Amino acid sequence: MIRLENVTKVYEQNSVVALDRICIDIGKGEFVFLVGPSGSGKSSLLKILTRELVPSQGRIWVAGKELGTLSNWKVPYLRRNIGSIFQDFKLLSDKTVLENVAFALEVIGRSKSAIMQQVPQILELVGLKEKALHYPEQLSGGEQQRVSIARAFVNRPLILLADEPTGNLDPATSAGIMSLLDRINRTGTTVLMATHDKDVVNRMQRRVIELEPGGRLVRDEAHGVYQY
Amino acid sequence: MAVRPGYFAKEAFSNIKRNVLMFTAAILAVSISLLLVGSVFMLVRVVRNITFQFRNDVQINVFIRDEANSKRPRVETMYQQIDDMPEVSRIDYVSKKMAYEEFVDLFANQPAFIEAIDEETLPASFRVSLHDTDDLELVSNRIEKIADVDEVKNALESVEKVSSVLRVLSLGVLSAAGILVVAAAVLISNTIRLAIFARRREIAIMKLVGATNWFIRWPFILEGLAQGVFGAGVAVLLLAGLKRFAIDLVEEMVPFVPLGISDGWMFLTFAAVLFTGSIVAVLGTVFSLRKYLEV
Repeated sequence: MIRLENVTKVYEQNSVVALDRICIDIGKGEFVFLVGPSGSGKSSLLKILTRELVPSQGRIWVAGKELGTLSNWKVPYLRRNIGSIFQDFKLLSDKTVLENVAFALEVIGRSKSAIMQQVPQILELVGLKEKALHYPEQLSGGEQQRVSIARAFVNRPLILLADEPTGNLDPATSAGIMSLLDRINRTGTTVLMATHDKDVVNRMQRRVIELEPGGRLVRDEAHGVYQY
Repeated sequence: MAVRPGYFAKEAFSNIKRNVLMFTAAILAVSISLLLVGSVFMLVRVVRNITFQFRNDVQINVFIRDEANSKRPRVETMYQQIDDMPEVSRIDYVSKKMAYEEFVDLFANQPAFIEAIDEETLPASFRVSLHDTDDLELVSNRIEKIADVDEVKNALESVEKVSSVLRVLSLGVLSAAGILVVAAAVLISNTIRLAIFARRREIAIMKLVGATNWFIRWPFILEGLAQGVFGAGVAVLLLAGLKRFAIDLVEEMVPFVPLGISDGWMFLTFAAVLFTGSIVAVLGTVFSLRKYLEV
C-alpha cells in the first residue's frame, strides 16, 4: 500500500537533511507507528506521501501509484485515497460539525444525496451524531479530533495518515481516539501514525518504525514499544 | 467530477459579500478605465470622419491681383491656364462683389467686421476643385507660377492641424486608459488576493481532501470576472450617456461637422469595452491565482 525506496529529502534553503535513504514497505490493512524525536523527519515523511513535498531522491508508491511519475493534475485523485488528521484538527470554525464533514465530500464533487447519506453514517461511527449542529468551539478537544477523523474517513480512503493526533489530548481522551483509529484500521484501512505518545504506542503493540535526527531509519519492529 | 456552476457561483458570491468595499472599488476602477477606452474608440472615429470629410471638400483658392482683375482678357487667360490642367475638375470665378457678400453672410452677427470692409477690400479669386485631393500640393505649386496670381491657399493645412491635434488627444486618452486599465487589473488582483487569504484554511482543507485545482479556482475566477463585467456594464452606460449628451448635442449645434458616430459604431465600442473588461479581469485574477494559490 505504501512503499519507499531510498527516499531522501534535503531542504534546499538550509540544506537540512530531513530523510536519509529511507526504505519502508507497508502492506494493506497494517497499523504502523512512526516514532522519533522532533526533527527526525516524521512529518516530512507524511507530507511526501500526499505529495505536499517532493523527495530529493528515491521512489515512492502510494495506493498503487508511483508518485514520481504522477502528473500534477492527478495529485487530487491520489489524495482522495488518503485521509489525513492532525494535532491541531484543522476544522473550519464557521461551519458546524455536519458542514465540516460534508465539506470534504462537496469539494470533490459528490452529489447532495450521497453527502446526506454518508455524513450521518460517519458521525454515528465517531459518536458525534448528537452534536452534528454544534460548532467546533463548542466541542472538547477529543470531540474535535473525532470530527477531523470523520472528515478524513468519510470518503472511505485506503490509507489514513495521522500526524500526532493525540498530541493535544489527555490520556483518557487519547485512548478513545486510539480505539476509534483501531476500529477504522479493522475495516481494512492502512493507518500510519506519527506520534510522541509513549503510552499509546506501548498499549497498542503494533508495528513501530523509528527515525532518528538526520532522518535515518533506526528500527522497524512488528510488535514494538516506544523507546529511544 | 460533476460540474457545479451553482456551487461556484454561491462561493463567489460569499467571497464578494465578505469584501464588498474592495469589490466596488475594483468595479469603479474598471469602469473608469473602460470609459476612457470607449472614448478613444469614439474619438478615433471622429478624427477619421472629420479628416475624410474635409479632405474631399478641400479647394484651392487662387487670389487674383487687383490690377489684373480689372482686365478681363488677363483673367480669362488665367482661367484657361488653370482649367487646362488635367487634375482640375472644376473652376469657379468669385468676383469681389461675391466675396463681399459671402463675407457679410458669414459674419452677419458681427457688424463691426462688416463695417471695416467694403466691396473693394476683398480680392477676386478662382475656386479650384481637384479630382484627387492628393494632387493639392502639386497643383497649388503650379498655379502659383501663373502670371497675375497673387496668392494660392488651400485649407488642407488647417484640416491636418485639426486632425493632428485630435490624434494627439486620442493618443493621450489612450495612454491614460492604458495606465488605468493596468490599475484596474491590479485592483482586481488585490481583491482576489484578499479573498484567497480570507479562505486560506478552507483552501488548505480542499487540497488535503483532494479537490481538483479547477474546483478550487473557479469561485475566484467568477469573482474576478464579475468585477470585469460589472465594470464594463457601468462603462457602457456612461458611454451611452456620453453619446447622447455630448456627441449628439455637438452634431445638433454644428450640423455641417458630421462626427459620424453611428449606432453600429457604438455597438462595436460596447463590444470592445466588454471584451477589454473581461480580459482585464481574467489577467488580474490569473495573476493572483498563480501567485497566491499554489494548487
